[in-house]
Amino acid sequence: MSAITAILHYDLKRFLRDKLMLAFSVLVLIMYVVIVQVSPDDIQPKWVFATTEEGAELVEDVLKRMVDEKAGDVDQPTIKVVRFKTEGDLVAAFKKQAGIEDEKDNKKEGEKKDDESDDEYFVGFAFPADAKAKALRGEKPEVHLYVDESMPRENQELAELIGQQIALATLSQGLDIDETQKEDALLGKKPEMRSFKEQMRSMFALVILMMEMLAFASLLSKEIKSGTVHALLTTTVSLPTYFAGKMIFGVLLAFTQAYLVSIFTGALTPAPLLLTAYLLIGAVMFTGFGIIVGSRGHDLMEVLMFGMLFMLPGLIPVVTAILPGGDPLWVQVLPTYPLVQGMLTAAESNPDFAPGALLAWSLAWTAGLLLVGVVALRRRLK
Amino acid sequence: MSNAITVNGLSHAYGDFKAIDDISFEVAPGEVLGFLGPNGAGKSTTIKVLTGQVPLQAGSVEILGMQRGGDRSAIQKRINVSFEEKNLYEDMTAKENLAFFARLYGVRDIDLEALLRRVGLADRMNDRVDSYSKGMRQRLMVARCLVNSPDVLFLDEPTDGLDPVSAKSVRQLIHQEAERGCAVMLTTHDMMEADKLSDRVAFINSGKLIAVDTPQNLKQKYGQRSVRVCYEGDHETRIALDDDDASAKVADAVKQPGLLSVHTEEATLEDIFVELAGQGLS
Repeated sequence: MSAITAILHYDLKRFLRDKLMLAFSVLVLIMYVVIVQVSPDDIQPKWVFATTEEGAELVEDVLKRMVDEKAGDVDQPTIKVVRFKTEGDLVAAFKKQAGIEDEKDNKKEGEKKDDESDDEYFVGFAFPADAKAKALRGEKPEVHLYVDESMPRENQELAELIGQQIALATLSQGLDIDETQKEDALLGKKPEMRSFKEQMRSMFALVILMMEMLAFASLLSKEIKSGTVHALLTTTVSLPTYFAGKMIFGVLLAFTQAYLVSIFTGALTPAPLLLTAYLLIGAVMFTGFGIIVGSRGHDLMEVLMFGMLFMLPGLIPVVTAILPGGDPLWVQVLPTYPLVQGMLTAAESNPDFAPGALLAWSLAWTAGLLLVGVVALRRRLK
Repeated sequence: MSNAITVNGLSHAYGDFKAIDDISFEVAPGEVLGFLGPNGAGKSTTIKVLTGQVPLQAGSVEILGMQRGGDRSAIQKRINVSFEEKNLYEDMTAKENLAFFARLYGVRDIDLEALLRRVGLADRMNDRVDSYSKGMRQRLMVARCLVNSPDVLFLDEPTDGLDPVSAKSVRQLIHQEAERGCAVMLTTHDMMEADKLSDRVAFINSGKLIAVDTPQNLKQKYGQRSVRVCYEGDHETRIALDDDDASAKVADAVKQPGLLSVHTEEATLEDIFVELAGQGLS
């Protein structure tokens, strides 16, 4: 145990003396805090509700009521209602989503700016011409709901909820809908509607883990290149003790920084225990990467090069998680995928979320990477 | 007194290549054994097996009465190694380097400044090693291998890169350690160095031990002793002392006119190695 303590003590000293890596670490920490601070607090998506003339008033009434009920509590979201004469017109406009004509703003088709379309969600309600008559007769009119499939899943669900609300108002029949949840969602307060800042908080903690992987790999590589590792292994330090010392140092180096900054920025607040567990697993996983990189790299340039080979694919699940749409299979097989998904889902504070599968998946990858790291290091030392 | 190192029938192979082949020798406490051989002869592999850097494949190694392959930690605690490569932590000071290794050996009550003074580095002990010259690093390497006051010391080219004064001080240090009772196994290419430092020398070639004895015995056994007589006019004659009529020949030679000088000559360890191995050390 005293040998491991000595390794930890002197590795920390060496880390603090590595000006380049230290500067890199401090820079990443500063960037993390700055990005989290300057990121927008809330998502204010612009909703464009397209409707046929028959149901336009109904849609407007329902939306107005939903907004009014929450207007004093939250910022007013941007909602536009666009009317179309027929369902055909609505569908055509839907297909050219970027060119929907805003009657109030008197914009022409195709003139809408790209920056506006980025955060606009288009939902179409097509009412049959006899919708009101059918409703009066107690019959159920068939209302077509159009939702862009590239829209984030939670927003598609929201659109469906609004559709159901409209149906409720039309038919004056009670449906099994949680009104509060639905309205909160519209106003950007539903738990799934997480802000960019909230998503970034936990994701940037991963970036810190990756940066520390490079610092750790650099220290390890230097030790191997200079041959000091051989000197260590002729003392009372055995190979397993050396591996243990290096692993503990790598994990502590990455975890401590990511954890402290996460506390400082409130990234752990949604689920402190679970997110801490994911951070710890992430620290171990990136230590595994670090051992592989440190074993392969003979100097700083090689460490950076090999490090990038692991970092860039490792970041892909972070990017795809933030972007709308599902994750392709090749992303799902990346080692960081379950970690990213686990952290994002944990940060959503969803009471229905059972973290077991993602934790186990992350742990399996972590154990595999550590094993590969130990084998790589062992081979290098031979 | 039992041996500090006892090696019996030691063999080691890397795949099909047999690096050492059935070698046996021993080193007594307080003895300095020079381990000599050309590159690739098996010196490094022998040292690696003895110091526990590679596992024992065949034969037996006993260090301080403990079998290699048994309690590794108990052996490592009482030995130390100075490598040919200057494997020091460049980003730490000399004192920190020694303190780190002392901690790894579990040594707490050590006067590092005194140890560094022994190798002439006390005044630079708080400087980072990357500011040291090659000779200073070598001296620090020697100091590092003394942090645990070892009973067995493995030294690889301990005076490599040192100026004559520093080399002499390191030799003195090795003698002091031997006088303390420490067994020293020394590997070097420098035959003069081995001759000065070693109580006995072992020649290894192609993985086999070809001779183990004191330098003096080896010279007597395998070397040619001779007398060289020089005369005016750049003329000289050599008389082998092992010949039966050597005394008479020497007496005649010194009576010849124009005598300038008389020199005794003995074989060097390198001469003997060449004679035994049929090749040089380099």
